[in-house]
Amino acid sequence: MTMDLIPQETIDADVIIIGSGVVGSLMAWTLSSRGLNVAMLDAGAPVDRVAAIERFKRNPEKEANSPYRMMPWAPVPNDVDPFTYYVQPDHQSKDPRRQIAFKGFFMRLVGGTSWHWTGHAERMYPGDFKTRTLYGHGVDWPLSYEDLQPFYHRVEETWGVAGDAACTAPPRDTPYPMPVVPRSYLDRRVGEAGLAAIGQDSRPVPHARNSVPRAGRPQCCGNSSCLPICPIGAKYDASVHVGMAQTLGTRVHANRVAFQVAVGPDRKVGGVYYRNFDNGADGVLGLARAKIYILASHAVESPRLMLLSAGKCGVPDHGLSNSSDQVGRNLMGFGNTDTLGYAPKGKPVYPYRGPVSATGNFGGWRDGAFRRERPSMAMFILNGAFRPAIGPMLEAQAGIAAGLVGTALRDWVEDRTARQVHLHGTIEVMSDPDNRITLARHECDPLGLPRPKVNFRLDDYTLRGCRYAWETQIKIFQAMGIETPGMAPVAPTDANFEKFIRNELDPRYFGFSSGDAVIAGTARMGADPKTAVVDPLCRSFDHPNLFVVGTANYLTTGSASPSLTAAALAIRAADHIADTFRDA
Amino acid sequence: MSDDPGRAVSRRTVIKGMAAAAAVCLPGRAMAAAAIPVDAFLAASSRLAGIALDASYTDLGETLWRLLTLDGAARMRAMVFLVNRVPEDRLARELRRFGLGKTARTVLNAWYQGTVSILPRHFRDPVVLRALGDLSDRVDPAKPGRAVAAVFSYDEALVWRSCRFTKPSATCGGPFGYWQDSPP
Repeated sequence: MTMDLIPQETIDADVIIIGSGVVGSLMAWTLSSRGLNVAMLDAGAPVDRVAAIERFKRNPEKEANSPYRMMPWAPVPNDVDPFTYYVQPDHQSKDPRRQIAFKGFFMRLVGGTSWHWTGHAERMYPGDFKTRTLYGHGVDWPLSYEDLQPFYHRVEETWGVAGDAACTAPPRDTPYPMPVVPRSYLDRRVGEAGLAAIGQDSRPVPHARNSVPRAGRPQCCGNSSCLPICPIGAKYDASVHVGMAQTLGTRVHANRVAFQVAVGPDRKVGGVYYRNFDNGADGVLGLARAKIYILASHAVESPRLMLLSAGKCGVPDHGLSNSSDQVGRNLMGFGNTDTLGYAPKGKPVYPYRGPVSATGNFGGWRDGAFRRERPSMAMFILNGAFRPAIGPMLEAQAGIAAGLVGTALRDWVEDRTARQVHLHGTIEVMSDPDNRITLARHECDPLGLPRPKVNFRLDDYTLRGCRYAWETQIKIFQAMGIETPGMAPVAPTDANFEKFIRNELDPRYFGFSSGDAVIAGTARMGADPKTAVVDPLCRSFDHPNLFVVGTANYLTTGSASPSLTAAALAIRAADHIADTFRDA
Repeated sequence: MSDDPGRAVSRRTVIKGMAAAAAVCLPGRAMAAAAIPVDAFLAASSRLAGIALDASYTDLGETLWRLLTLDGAARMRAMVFLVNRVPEDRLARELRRFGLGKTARTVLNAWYQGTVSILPRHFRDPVVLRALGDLSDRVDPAKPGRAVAAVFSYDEALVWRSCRFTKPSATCGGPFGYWQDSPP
């Protein structure tokens, strides 16, 4: 191993984990509970919940990242303009078949992106693991739903997941740890329309959100701010397991930006170089050393580090663990279809009450033979309606601009806000080797490290799913008598769908995008080292003491929220590491 | 909100009153700060917003008055004078007639959203620093002179009193599951 950098500090442990989000924190907790000496590094700072809420309230935009103080040394895609970080030269393309702006958001903080996740704790469906065999699309996983089921159960127990048999979810062999989070009044009204229009009622969703007080965390009281932050910690976030791991001895090192992995002649990873920004912007050079290394930095920063390491410190020119040339490839993110409008006058639906993202969804298209023709899709009814936290204010702005004053203004704001309906479809995107993260060699972050360059497009299979979602949303809206003031009704024609995916329909009522809640696929799992980065236990094929864990491993995503499966993979990999550590 | 003053005003009365109101505040901030007509401002704000603002809003009203009069209080005083003397059903028309619609909209947007627009040249003003903190990192480097939006009170924004079925985000809404039913 060529250690051609001279560190000013070192961290030594049995296991070094890079990233302290859902995956890193669960692995740290699992490994510490098995007696291993664990150190976890994160590029970002710890989060003070009270300060974050104050920052959220002070921020007029109230976007997903608004509560959080991002450190200059750990930049992320800005939620107003993600291309201040991502480099995607053709992101303004109007043709999603050629290129579509990739709006996959994540955060670099202790606790990771879980701080602002929806809290949806959804298992993937059995069919998601074998889409090639069953439906002729995508790639089969080298493991099955049955293989993961015990780990799903363990995660649900330790997170605390609420649900019941009515939830949109695959079959399970154990009960949910907590009673269901009930659907909102809005969900039930939209569900009635769904029943009339498409033969489906809305259903609840499994939540990592306390429906009863549990594990020292309170019961949810519907603060309507869980995305971007739960003020009382009723929603699970990874700070829970960061704390639990620390109690068991894990050392958490914030503000450490890993930028170079070193590999020895035996192909084993020998260290991770980082810069420590605890004491200012200079960034003291450090080296983290261990027997086992885990990259758990989501599906952008993990492959970025693997590519940044190329050709230096013993890492081959093609990058860390990249003999397959699959690192960074097969980037997946949902296609998103949004339709908005107003329930009829006199029929308020009362959004902005309860968990803000979704307590209800239409769940009839997660898995099934239809996937031969079009992909899996989920459709959520957003309690956060037009804009979580500030939707009523935007109505006030419009009323004031229209010249309303006095009681007319007051009543108009209430009436319009109470009738807002927003359906959000998330459509599976299958892997495509040309959808990928690479390095933007000439466009660097504040540390001088190349920013992630993105290439992303949607294929016809995905777009068929988007078309189906969009048409279904229109049908439900028609059954509800949804109004779109200032815009004539839009018929679901070919021409209008083309306008929809080009974002040429009225942006007040229609939106089409990609990315959203899932970023996956950039360090894929497989059984064959020629076509995969890691094996079914998330272990690198190229470096026997390196694990790359998380949504980066996914071969398919289904249309479920991705975090629970990443957590299940994490616990499964951590078990293996602990079981075999003495031989390592 | 329907506490109509019960008397119409003539154009002559209003112009005379507005002139007097403007005169006492000229020339600008120093005198405006010396005589904040907070009761009148709250009364006018109540009538504009259609929501009664009682004495518990005094501090917020005073803060908002200071933030909205950083460049002088003449138009604000004139608007307050007018609004407090015109019946609600004539408010919009009279505001337009006297060219005070924009001032009224500024006040309404501030109250309803809990947000004001501040020019960078005022960022070091003690009034701004006390109410809004340091806004210097909010400036768009490409447009350094452009005003930035700043929240002076999210929880007290009047949309939350208008929308009686909900509460400010990050505020406990009620017992677990309250969202299942329509609001009481």
